[in-house]
Amino acid sequence: MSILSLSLLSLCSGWRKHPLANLMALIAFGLGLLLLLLSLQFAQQATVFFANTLSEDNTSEYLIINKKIGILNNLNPEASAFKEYEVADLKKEPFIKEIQSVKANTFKTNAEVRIGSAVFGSELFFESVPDAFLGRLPSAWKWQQPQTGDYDSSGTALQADRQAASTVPVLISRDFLAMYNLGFANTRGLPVLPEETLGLIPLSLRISNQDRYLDLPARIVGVTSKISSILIPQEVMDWANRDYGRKRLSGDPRRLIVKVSDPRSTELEKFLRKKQYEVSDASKGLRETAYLVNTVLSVLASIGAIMLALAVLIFFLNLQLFVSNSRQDIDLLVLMGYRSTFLAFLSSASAALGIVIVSALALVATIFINHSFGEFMRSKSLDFSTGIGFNVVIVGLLGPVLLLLTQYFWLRFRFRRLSLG
Amino acid sequence: MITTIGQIQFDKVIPKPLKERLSLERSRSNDQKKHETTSIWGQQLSIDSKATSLIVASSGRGKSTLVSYLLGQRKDYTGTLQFGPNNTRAYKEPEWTFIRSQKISVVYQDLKLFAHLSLKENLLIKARLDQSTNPRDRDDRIHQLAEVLELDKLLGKQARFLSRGEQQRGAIIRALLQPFELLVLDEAFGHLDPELTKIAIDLIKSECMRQAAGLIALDLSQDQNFDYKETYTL
Repeated sequence: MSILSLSLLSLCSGWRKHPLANLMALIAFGLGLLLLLLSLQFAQQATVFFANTLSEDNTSEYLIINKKIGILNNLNPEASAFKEYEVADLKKEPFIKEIQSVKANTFKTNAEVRIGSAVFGSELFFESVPDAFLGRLPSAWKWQQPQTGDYDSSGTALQADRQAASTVPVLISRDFLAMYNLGFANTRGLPVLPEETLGLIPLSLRISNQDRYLDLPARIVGVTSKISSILIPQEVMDWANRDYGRKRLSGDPRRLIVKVSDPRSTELEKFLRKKQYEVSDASKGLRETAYLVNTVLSVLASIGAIMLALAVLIFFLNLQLFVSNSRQDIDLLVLMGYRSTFLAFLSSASAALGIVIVSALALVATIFINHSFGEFMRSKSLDFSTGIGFNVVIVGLLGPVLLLLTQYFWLRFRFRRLSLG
Repeated sequence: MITTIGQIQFDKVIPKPLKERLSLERSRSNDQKKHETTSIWGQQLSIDSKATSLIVASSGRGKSTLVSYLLGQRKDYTGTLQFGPNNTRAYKEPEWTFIRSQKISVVYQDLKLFAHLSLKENLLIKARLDQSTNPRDRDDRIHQLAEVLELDKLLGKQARFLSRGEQQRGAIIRALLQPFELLVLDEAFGHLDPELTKIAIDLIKSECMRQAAGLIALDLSQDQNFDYKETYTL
């Protein structure tokens, strides 16, 4: 390295002749990189956030449809049920991939809640939907069928039966909880129930038909915003309907869960309107928000990319300026016997420090801003991670490396032309 | 790899920028039959790189262009230029770098010093290229040569603050700081007084002797600075 000296380095460096232009090109590059990194990071955060909130897997492809409640249904309750041929019609449509019914109870059910010494009791209804529709489920969403078969003359289940029956998990609609907490509890002087404490309330269910009844322990294991109903697992429903159901009620579903290829398709909407079916889609608003936010973020990312491109342009204009202004010096150095590759390396190296510092600053700023934003969102109890995305780090590292490499090869090309005419 | 320059062979080398002018002159002087045997452009001749030669040419005849051709920095000519058996057009950057730093040393007419570096830095940038020497020897040699040409007090001064004559002596010293087989002097003494010119010539002579190197002086007119073996025109 004895041919390297400060004076030689200064001849090859753009900083000596145009410190201000160099500084501005660097700042532009740093800002462009920062904007790109930030929008990448936020796009990623938003995708993760909405994917979590839109709940796990593919539940956004599920829609719940029911018949419009009109005068006709009013007179004949069975009119709001979907008949077999109507389900078959639905199945024929190309945009419907799968149909499941929302099953209702045909047995009679009574629930009792004890809060302190007070006892509240009410008749209830239950519905059940396929688990896949609900997405993420609480771990307590399990049930063990009690041994059945032995009944005494009065129809009361034997003691053994009752003990074998495991707790029935119940999911209630978030709307119902809100209705109770905000409407009912306040006006009646009853305790409000936060979501977290619901599971602590012991419920006892009595399911019955004309002949017999069975007492089962139950527990609210969670709330859902997917469907306005009170849900029990499908296997509980099937078992109870079979053993305690009243036979004169048809099992025809009032609500159907359909899996569609594209929930936003206009074909689907036309079809539903023609049939006078209603759709309840709890995640519709959220999906629209997600779409909006993603659009805004991709616009931001594009602006970041354009800014970065402009910054790179400024960078290379600056480099061009350096080459034309240092032409004489480089000319002389190659005439003395210095290699163009060596000189291009020195030039790039003299620029490298600035680029590395600015890129590191951009990356650190991204991490910092992202962290503060994550903390802010958490303080608003929104589930935002403060971690930085892998691809953000990759871009943050690759950006400056690519810039340096391009700079080096371009300078080498220019210097070689000075060297060899 | 090149081991030696040997015979510098010109075969109808004509600089493209001078082409029209040269062909015009030739047609005009055809009948006069000037001594074309010694003219380099457009002729076939060879110069011994080990000999001491003079090339006389008035300005605008391509003296500096010839220097650029010898160093491979320009290739805008027709014909072929050979170092011994090798066509120089085939040389790539490694060969030219080797020639520039080890084989041919030049005192440029326009001196070509880095204006913003001190004289010493100017000299060091050249001297450092010779990897066979160590830093202390380089330093000693720079001081020794500077003393001979009365520049030792000016080594720390930036080149732009030196007079033309001082710059010219600096350029001469720089040319002597590398190993060479051929020293090219492009009007190397134009800014020196007779006394300093003589000192410089003696220094150059002894250096060429020491390195067993040849010399080509390019000048506007015939001079007696060295014992020229051949005289050419452009």
